[in-house]
Amino acid sequence: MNQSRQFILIFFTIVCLVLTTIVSFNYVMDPLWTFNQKHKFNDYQSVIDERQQKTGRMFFQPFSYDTILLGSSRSTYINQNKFTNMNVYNFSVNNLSIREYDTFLAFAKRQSDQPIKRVIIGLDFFKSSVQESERPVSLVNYEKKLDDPLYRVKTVFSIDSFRYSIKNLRMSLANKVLTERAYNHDNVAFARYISDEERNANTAEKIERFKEEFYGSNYVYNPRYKEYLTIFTDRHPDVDTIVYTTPISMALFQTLVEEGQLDDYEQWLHDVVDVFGGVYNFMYPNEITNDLTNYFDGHHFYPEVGDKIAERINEGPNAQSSFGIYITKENIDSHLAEIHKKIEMMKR
Amino acid sequence: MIFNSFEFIFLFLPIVLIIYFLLNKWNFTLAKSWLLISSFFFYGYWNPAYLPLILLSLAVNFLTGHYISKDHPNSHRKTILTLGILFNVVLLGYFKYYDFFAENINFLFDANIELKNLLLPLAISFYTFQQIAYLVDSYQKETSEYNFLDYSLFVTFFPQLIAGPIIHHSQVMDQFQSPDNRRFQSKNVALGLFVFSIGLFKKVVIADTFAAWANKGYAMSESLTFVDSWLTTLAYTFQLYFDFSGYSDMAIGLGLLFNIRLPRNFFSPYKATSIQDFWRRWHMTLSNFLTKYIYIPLGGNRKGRTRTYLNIFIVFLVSGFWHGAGWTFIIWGVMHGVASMVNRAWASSGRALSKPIAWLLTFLFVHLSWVFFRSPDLQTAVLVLRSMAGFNGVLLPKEFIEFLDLPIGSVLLFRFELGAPFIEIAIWTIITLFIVLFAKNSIQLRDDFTPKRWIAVTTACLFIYSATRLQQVSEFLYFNF
Repeated sequence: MNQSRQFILIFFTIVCLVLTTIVSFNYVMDPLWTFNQKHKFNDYQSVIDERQQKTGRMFFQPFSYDTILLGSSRSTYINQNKFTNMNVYNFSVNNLSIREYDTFLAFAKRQSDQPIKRVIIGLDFFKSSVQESERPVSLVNYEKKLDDPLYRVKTVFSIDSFRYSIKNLRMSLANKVLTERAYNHDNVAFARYISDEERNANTAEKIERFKEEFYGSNYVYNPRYKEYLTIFTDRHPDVDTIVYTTPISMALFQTLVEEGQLDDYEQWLHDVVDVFGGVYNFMYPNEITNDLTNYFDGHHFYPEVGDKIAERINEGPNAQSSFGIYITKENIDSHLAEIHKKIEMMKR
Repeated sequence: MIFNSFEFIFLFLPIVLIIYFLLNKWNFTLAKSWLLISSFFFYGYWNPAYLPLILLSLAVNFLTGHYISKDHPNSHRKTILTLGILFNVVLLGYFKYYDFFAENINFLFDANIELKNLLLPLAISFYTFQQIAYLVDSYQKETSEYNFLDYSLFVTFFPQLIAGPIIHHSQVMDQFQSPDNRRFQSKNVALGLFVFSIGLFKKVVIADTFAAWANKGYAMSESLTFVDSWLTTLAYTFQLYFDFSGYSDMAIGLGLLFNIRLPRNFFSPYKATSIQDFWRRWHMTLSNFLTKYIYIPLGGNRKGRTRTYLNIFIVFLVSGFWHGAGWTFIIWGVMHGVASMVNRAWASSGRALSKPIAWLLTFLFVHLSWVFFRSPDLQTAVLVLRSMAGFNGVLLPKEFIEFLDLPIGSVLLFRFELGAPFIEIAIWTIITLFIVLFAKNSIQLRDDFTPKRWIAVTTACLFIYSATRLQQVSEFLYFNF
């Protein structure tokens, strides 16, 4: 064999062997959730981009639910299987803007084999600022990706996917969450448990970031926030809506107060109640938010708190609970007065 | 379709290549027809609406060239040649420059000409130039043996169609007609794989890495300060070189797979020690075209000193305008025109600079001129240049100060926001500068190529790494928000 033929043979042998390995491994590990692979070697899945992963799962795998849960990263920690009398899919993703909720629900409706009857919406206060809610965003670019007939094939030909596949294998073999957030096969998210020291450091860093980036002079309540919520309800008149606010730690809540956002917080709750009639409020001083060990950074709670949120919603608006109050036009003012009192007490 | 896409590398190319050589065993014309149809498919993949235009251009130019290469009266031939060139210029002018002229007329004369917002047909600048050259040479009766199939293949051969190298018909026509090229030639295929893999790596790994930083920097031109403005512009300087030369390498490599040798287009341009030297190394096929079809017909250096300088200036003005319909490109062309005139005057004065200073001056000039080339408008270019000159403050990255443990107050610190840590970008920039200055370029590597085993292994590694980076799966930046 002449040298050139040998060159070609070596080149293609290596290319075929390595690419076959990468492709097969990615296919089996399925880090982007498009091949419905479920086994003990991939039962921990890293978060890459939840928009891409969850839309991929909904598009390529059997999908039949009657309730969709929408929210940002905090809401990802709520176990969809903890809701009773409803079949929930948790379609929460990181950094979800209020303006995205509409296209998310529309996509879920198109994918579900059964009609979507209900939507559970998680709202975050800091997402109500102009800075965090004015940019027009939607799921369209992710949907476009799915239109590409070669989309799934391309994702397995990726060295990045390969790295995530290895990460997932490591976690699955160790049977331990090694990243900040990981999912199992059933779309349930887990958090990594950390030491008190790390928690305190994370919380301090988060508070600093909120001061610099989200609260204070950077926060201006979006006067169109209510309009965006109304657009959502107008576009989806066929679904019942359950709304809740996400609980942040009191350490972070105090920062909100110190930075002068308490009035905005009240305005936000009033607007939410005006549009939806009522909201389960978890974001106020209570036994969960007062205890920093329920959080890993003062902003994101552990899944156990997510379970409590689901339980509270299961109990319905009229139940009495030390965590989560259903507020309506009738009781919002007394609820806010109560919060003021607690804040005063905390100051003392 | 682009070379650095999954569809091209894993579907289009293998299918076209295999069928081409299979058909060649049977019928050469059929094989070439297959290559032509494949090139049309390649061209129309993005937007089939472009296809009728290129077909029209092919037909008009071939018939015109055919007519003027025959023994018709010279006056007729000249008229037809003029009409043919005019056809190409009007076609290019209409699609590429209509809105530019309309905007400027509207501005100058307070007119209200409606803009057409035409979508620029892919590769029109390249195939127009190639065909003008063909017409001029047909007039000189240098093209009489060409048939329509070979001609169409010369214009549309997919490796060079989108972004060059700009090929001259004399460089490839014989190759398309040579029966020797029907055979699968392992030597060419090995070399083609080698050059293609280098080009793919340059594009996907190096150019695209710098592109992310350059894009981010230019998008925040108003807030750039001294350090990040230099890193932004250097990122673009390297991005452009590795992107364009990488694409040319891929084209050359692909040509070799079909036994077609395409001309070289880049030869370490950032090693240049004068602006003239730079243009002998950067986009060489364009420089050759402009020299042969504009500079020399204008009189070159044969009509006295003033005309020589004027001709040089005109060539660069045309070059700037050819690169894009905007004032930034015209300024870029004018800058290079003026620099080339200064360079010529300096050279004829008999004085010489030391090599390092000559290199530094050339590199800095080219680097600064790219600011106009990259900026979407003049305002952005001025903002970036002001930052580079320190008018926006000379702040140092926080991590840099911390790294060196310098006792500098917070006034001089800033948050580095080009999308990667300062140290990472700085290291990439320094290493890349060393590569462009001291490493062999891909053409030298091509010429030195021997199909050794370790080179096959290295080539495979470059290819695999680049090909698996085509589909970037990136973590969402705001993970926990």
